[in-house]
Amino acid sequence: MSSFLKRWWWVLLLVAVGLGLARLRFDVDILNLLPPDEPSVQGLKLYQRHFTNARELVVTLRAPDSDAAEKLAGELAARLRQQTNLVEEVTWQPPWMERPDQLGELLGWLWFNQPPGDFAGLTNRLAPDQLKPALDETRELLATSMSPMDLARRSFDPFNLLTMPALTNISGMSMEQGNQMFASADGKYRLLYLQSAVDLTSYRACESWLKSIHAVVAELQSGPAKDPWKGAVVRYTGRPVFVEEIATSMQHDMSHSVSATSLIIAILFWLTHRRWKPMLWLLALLGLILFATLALGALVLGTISVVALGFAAVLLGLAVDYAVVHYQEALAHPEMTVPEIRRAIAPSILWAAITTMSAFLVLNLGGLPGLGQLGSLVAIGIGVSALVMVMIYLPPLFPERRQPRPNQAPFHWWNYFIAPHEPPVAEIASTGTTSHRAAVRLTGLIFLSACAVLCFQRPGLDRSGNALQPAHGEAQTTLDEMTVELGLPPQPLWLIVPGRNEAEVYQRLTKAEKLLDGAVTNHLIGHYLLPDTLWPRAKFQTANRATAEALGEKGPLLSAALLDAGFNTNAFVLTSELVRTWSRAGASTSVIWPTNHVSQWLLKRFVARTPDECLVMGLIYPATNKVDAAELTALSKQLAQNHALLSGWELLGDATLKRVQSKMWLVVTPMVLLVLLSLWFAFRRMTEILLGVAVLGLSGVGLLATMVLTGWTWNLMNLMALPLILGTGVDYTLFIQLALRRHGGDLAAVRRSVGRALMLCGGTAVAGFGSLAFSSNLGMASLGKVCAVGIGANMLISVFLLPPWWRWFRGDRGRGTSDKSHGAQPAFYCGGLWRLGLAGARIIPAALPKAVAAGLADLYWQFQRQRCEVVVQNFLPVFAGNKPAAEKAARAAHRNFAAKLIDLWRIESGEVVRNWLTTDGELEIIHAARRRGRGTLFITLHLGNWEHGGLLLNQLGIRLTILSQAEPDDGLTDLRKAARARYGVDTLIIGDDGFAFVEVIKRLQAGADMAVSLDRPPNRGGVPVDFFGRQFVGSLAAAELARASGCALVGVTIIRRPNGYAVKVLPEFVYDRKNLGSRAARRELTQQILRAFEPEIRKDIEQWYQFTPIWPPGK
Amino acid sequence: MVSIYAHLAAGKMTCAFRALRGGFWVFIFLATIVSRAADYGSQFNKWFEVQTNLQSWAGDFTQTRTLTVLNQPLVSHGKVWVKPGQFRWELGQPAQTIVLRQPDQLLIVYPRLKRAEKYPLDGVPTGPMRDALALLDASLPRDRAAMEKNFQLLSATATNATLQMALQPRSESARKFIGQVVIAFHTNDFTIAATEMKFADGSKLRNNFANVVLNLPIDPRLFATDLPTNFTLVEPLKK
Repeated sequence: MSSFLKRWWWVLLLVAVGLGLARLRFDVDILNLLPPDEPSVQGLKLYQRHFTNARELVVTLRAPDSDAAEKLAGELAARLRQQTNLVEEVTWQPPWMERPDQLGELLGWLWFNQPPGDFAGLTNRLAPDQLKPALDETRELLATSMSPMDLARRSFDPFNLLTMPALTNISGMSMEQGNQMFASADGKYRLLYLQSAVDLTSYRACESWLKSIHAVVAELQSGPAKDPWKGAVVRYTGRPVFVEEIATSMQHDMSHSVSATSLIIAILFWLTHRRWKPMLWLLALLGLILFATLALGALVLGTISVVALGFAAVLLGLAVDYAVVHYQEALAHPEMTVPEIRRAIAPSILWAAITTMSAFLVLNLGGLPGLGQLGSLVAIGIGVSALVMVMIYLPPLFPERRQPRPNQAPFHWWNYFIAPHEPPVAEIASTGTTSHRAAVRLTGLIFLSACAVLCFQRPGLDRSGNALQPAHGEAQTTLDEMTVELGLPPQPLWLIVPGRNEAEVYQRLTKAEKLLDGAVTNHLIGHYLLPDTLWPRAKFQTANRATAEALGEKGPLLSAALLDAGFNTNAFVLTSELVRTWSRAGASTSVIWPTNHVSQWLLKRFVARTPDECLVMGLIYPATNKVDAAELTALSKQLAQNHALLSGWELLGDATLKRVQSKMWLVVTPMVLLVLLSLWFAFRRMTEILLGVAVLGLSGVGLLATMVLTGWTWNLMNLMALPLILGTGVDYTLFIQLALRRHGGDLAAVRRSVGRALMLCGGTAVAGFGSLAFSSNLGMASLGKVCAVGIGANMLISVFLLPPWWRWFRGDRGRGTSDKSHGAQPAFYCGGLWRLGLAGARIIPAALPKAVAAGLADLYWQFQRQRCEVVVQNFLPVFAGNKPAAEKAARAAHRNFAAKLIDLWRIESGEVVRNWLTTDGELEIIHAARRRGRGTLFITLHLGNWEHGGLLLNQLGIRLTILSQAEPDDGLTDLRKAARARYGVDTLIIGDDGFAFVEVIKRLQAGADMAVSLDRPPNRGGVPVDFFGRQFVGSLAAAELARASGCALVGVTIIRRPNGYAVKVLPEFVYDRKNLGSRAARRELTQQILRAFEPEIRKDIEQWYQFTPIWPPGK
Repeated sequence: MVSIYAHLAAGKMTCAFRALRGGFWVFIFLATIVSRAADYGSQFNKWFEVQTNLQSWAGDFTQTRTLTVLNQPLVSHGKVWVKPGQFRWELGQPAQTIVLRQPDQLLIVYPRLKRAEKYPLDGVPTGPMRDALALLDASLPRDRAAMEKNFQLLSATATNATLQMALQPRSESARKFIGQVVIAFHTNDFTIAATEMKFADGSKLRNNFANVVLNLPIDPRLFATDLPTNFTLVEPLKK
């Protein structure tokens, strides 16, 4: 990549960071972290949006006695009302206490909502001839009643208009309930409701506004009238305080966690390396990574939840790994240049990063948007970290090692993903059996102890929503105090009923009421309060309009009657307001609502309206003190079907957890697959993959046992630890096992380099997460603790137990497999896949699988470069060392091989090929050779579709026997043997069995037709020949068989062309059988044969399928 | 169920009380007479002594209600019987309202409406209702210490053979309901002459007693709370 392009990549990154910063917004609403389609979440969101006033602050005041409390509350209200730039409204006692006349509108409106029969009855009661008797009765009552309520009411309601059926059920408007909102029973504790004059849209705005309010209160408390304030306690709660507290505590958590982690990183780094420059550079880059991640996260996600900001702690713990591993490797190998170190380490870092990123991205499938966002943010951060640490960290620290060596092979971007070709481990470093035994014993001890603990108990699952709530701060403490002081029932649930209009809401409300009645009967709930009597009835209002108009005109008549009966104008205040309301109602054309301050204040407690939506809220009281969310699930579902949303924090946790549980497989399955895939790509050795899985398993049971012993439980937040623990576990196993490979299993060397680095990484991660344990958010705290234990276990097991395990397994078989590692057949060359291929070939038309196979071949070329490099090396002599040409041909060979494989599957699955491209002259060579009756040995190469030769001969009436090695899988050997038999070709497995060779000779002598390929070096008994100008260990098989049987030797190639299969029969190889007694003559014949094939190979090298090394090593 | 009417009452009282409290002259006036009240302390004490030793008393009364919504006061007549811890008021002839006070409850019966209201006296929450009930007791005080716990003596005025004591609730919340209580008694025989409650909104309720007899046996059935079966009993303070 040119430096120009490199620079542009960085510029692009900077632009993205800039754009992200411009988009960066923080969201403090915890509910946005939860599944939006969950009824309890929807209900809570509606509740928060419509029924908890975002601008309403609740100020509580406790004084030594009730008189003082009332007096101080009044003074405070008066002072706050003066702050018109801060406070729009202060309510410190029921509004109707200050403006009782305003209740008239509400009462008139309630009459208007009555059934038409009841409302029409009023016209009779207020008929002119009925007024005097009614007023006489009132006077009698006022003279004789001893009820203070009657006296008060009838004084102001002389026509007794307030007696209506609906009102008797309006418990929400009872005197006790009204006062209960403002003062405790003993009157010593009072509440003031403040409406902010400014929009509190951000937590900064909340913080600033609250500071101003605090200042006003403090000024009053310390002013000239400060004496009465002695012993008085003022506290604050309400949404602005919660918002400010949550955001501030999150900010506090983040800054403390980041500071503490950074400090620990610095200390550990210093203790380990005693160098300032790398330490400071590391800290600077970590800061840069956090900043860039936040910006890129904002670019991708837009608004970032404050909970998702917990990514910082997660990220620091991971990002530092990449730097430290790099740095440690640079120190351990002073002879290596920075590009070489990068080349050596980058694949493990990048694969580890990809795995961890994928694991975190999978969180998006978990059904919790918040965790998904956190996962996305961490994934972005890990990507940035890997990029920054791989590319930037080392060069400034080792300026003299920055440049690559002059003779260094060109380095492509994909090399970062492919582990360099490691020399095979010639010998496992001598091992002390003591350390093996100790490791095994320790492993057993940990595993058995953990299992023993888990047999008795397993970590529980916290079904409540506590993990999502902030820890008890001032706002929550004050709210709890309010609940106790005002004698409010604990933990009511909310029923939110939305609808497009009043009629729809009423319909839903009525249905909900029936369901709730059933729930009360079944003791699912204790009782409920639905303001259905206060909800406007559109039908009634329409029917009552004419009556209202008539009643609205009765004002003068009623006033005159009152005065005649000895009342004065004071007695008419309420009546006149009622009449005015009826007059307005009579003139209305649609559903009307009361509009004055008192009405609005009352209604907004349970009614919300927007231009296109109406909502009403009811309260559901559980049957017991504790909400059993599981029991309410069915009720919640029934209500939700009717668009009534049952909600509350208690329900939230359970519902969300159920969602998480139901989607867990969506998260866990890909996560496990990712881990396995990543381990596979990194190791491609089953033993090492299983060792990696073993680390994760042991760490997992260790974590679970620790959780049991410490009494921790799983919750919505700490479930997020799973991908992190998996990710770090994979990281550590990758680093350690690849280091073990690099160092030939030298434990001391591995521990000195990567082991030391991982101890530092793990230590910082544990410290970072440990610091989260002190978070003010319970969920974050539990996440921190679980992560600290899980990552700590991963680190300790990887560094201390994994190396002995690795040596234990590699000590037995490692050498053998290592030697053959690049010569072995690919893992997919197995019976299962072959059967699948055969089945697919039978069903699917050829074009589609060929296209897919070509794509897969390209992927294989990209991601299996080590194996592909084998082909390139095989081709190099053909191109006289021209590597680009060899690479080009090798890549084409991979694609062609994919097509050939499809062809082969089709033939083996029974398809008949007839489009042979050949001439009679060439076929005559075959017939001539056979006519001699001494048997014919067809010599072929791994060129083109050589297997098709058997089919061709079968169509020519010749039954061929193929001489072959056993396939890597016995099942595959049998499968292929049977397939060939179906199209008339026999198979003779030779292997190393000398008797098999005798059988071949016998058959040839009997005139059989057999085929053998000669372009691969034999395991033993080969002779050096010249092949494409390079020494090649050729197989003497053909020459030996010729000597033993006198068979004809015919060379054949079958090349795939666009219009068919081109059959090329080389002129028969002529030999003197007597001369073949000498090995030199046999070598010469072999040389002659191979040389004859060279032009054919050159011509169609892109169909020469040599996937195992064919040239002698070291040349 | 106490309903929205109560708010009207409480609200009106609050407004009126605020107006009254705003009048500075009230304080000047009260301060002046409090200084003279000490002169009548011995007579007041004597009256309480008589009350303490009373086994019972009964009498007729004329109740005058001066309401702010009416141009003229409403006058009605009734009878009262008092025993320690119990009393019975009958208002109207025939009785329109009967108030029965038991140690643990107060029963207000409306014979014409065939309705009764029961107020348990031990479970009344703090607030205007509790203050109102306390004031009902205060209008028939028997113990000076207990009375002064809740009331402050504002003034004492002697006219002819009658001593009139003005009392003010000590609780600010109670004062929002009743601004002043007046008790007048005859200084010759220490029988009650009148009680008056001045409400915060300016309304007044005055009872002038006549034909008071002391320590006569009272038929216990007068204090019985049994209601006819066709009466409706409600408990307004019960939630």
